[in-house]
Amino acid sequence: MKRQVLADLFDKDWESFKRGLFKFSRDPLSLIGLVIVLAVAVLASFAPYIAPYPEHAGKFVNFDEASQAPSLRHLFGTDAVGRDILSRILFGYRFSLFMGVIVLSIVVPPGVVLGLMAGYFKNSWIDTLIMRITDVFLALPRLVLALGVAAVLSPSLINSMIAVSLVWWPWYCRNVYAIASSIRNEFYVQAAEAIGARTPHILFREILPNCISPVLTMVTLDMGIVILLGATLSFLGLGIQPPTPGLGTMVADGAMYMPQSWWMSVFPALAIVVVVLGFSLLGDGLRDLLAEEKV
Amino acid sequence: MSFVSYFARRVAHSILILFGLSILTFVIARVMPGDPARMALGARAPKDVVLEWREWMHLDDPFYIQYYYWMRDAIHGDLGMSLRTRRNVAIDIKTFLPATMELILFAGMLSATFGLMLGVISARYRNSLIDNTIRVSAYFAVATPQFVVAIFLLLLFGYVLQVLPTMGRLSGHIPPPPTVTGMITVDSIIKLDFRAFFDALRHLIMPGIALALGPAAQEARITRSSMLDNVEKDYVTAERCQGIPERVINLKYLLKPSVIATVSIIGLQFAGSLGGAFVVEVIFGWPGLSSYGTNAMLNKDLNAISGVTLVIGVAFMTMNLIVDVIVAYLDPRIRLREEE
Repeated sequence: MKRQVLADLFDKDWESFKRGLFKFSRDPLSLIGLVIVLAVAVLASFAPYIAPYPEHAGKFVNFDEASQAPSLRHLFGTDAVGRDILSRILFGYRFSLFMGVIVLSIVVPPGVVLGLMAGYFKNSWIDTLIMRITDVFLALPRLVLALGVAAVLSPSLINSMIAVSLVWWPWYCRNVYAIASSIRNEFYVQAAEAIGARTPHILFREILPNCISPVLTMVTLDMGIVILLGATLSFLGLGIQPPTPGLGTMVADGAMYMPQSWWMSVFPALAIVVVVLGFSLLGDGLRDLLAEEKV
Repeated sequence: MSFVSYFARRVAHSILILFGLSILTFVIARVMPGDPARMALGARAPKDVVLEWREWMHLDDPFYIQYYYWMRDAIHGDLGMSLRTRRNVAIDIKTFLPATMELILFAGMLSATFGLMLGVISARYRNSLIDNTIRVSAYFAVATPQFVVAIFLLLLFGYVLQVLPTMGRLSGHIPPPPTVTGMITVDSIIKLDFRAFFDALRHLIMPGIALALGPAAQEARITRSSMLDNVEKDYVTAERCQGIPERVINLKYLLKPSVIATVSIIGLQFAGSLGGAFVVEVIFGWPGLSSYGTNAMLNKDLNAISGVTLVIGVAFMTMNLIVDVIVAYLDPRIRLREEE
């Protein structure tokens, strides 16, 4: 009997999931997003094998080929010291994605746990303490706080990841808080309390599953924004330092040779737009998919 | 909850956050590796001078006492000396803030006007060619970082077409109007100096667009979706049945409830442009607070970093407070929800 109920439940979920997947596969924008994200991931992972001039990613100088316009030899042209822009963009993707993945894996667990605690213990001192601290971090524009922290820690890839992480956790905390505080009075939570379930069980087994799809959507959307913020930091000289190829750094360096050598900053700039667009399209599609699943 | 008590609660909340923010900014500027006294005086300063400086800056006192002195001075408008400009940070901020305000206000007006307009058009002609064009462009606009927009504008209008100035707030040959507000466009209008006004306006266009494009796209998307949410409501059908023209329904009855979401997004984006200004000001050589802040950060000018962060935090919070109050005024449900 019980098994039958479970199976029905599973079938229902499976059906709605398939329906969502079908909808996702018919939505051209989400598919474009998926393709872009996969393509960038592949390009970034295999950059050393795909890039036409992998050695150009580091300290490489060849003044014979400096500032060359796009050609068959150098599809996106070369920079002021003769490095192939395409190769550097591929390696730049590597660092951007690396940063996105690391930052989000640092940020999501504490943000989610704090949000769960604050939401479940709503109106207690735990809620007040956690949410007031969160509010303070949310009281500054993300870029400004990240810039301040990155500057104080000395600019580097690692420090810019620390800076962005410090700015990012409150957003997860606040969103999970909103969900947790709205379902803490649901019957199944009360039932768990009534049979004496421990707090960790209620937090992670009863409440957490409700937060998974919103957090998943948020992570996808945020990948793009973290990459964007990282590029902005390196554009201002407070992120990845030369000779490591950062997409933002490349745009900033190229801007000095505008307008004659436009390719130096235009192609890295487009590379940023493409990856951010990919993640935001995929994230929006995923949101629709998971919303569909709930119905 | 009455409107007044809602307002009072929000203000009290903001003051609490401001206190936290001041601690955060203070901590940011003090966790820096290295000796602040050495950094201020240079590596070759004699030891007794360094010790005297440490004493003077209370660097040997416990953390909370240092915070007390810093806060006491900050309340009196003294944010400490900038290591780079050798002036008080508060004076520097007073000099650079108006330029940033001018840019942000201009960008805010641009994005609010175009965001709302495009959103309404998009919702009115939903699923048509115009709607799809607006939606796809909005996607691109949201995904494009401000510095990329700025670089493309610079390339197109500044270098290829050469129709707009690429740097600064005013051309060299035009005398700036006397300072009243510090915003050149406003000051020149006060003096009826139209030559300076139009020149300043021309300088504003590119940085303004670079700052406004993303927010405008976001606002258009929100306006469209909230109008489409309301279009299904019974009262709209009722109005349609009464034979009220579609145009009147759209602009008079549909826009009003739909605009609440847009107002709060406009406010958030406007406050957020304080961050975006950092990038845009650097690219267009705009002598504002953000250029000052970026230079301070690149030079590890501690007092300037905390001063700029604090001022931006206060401005950001004030804007958010104003938005919350406006939205709560427009939509009583938000005030009531707060009570739960």
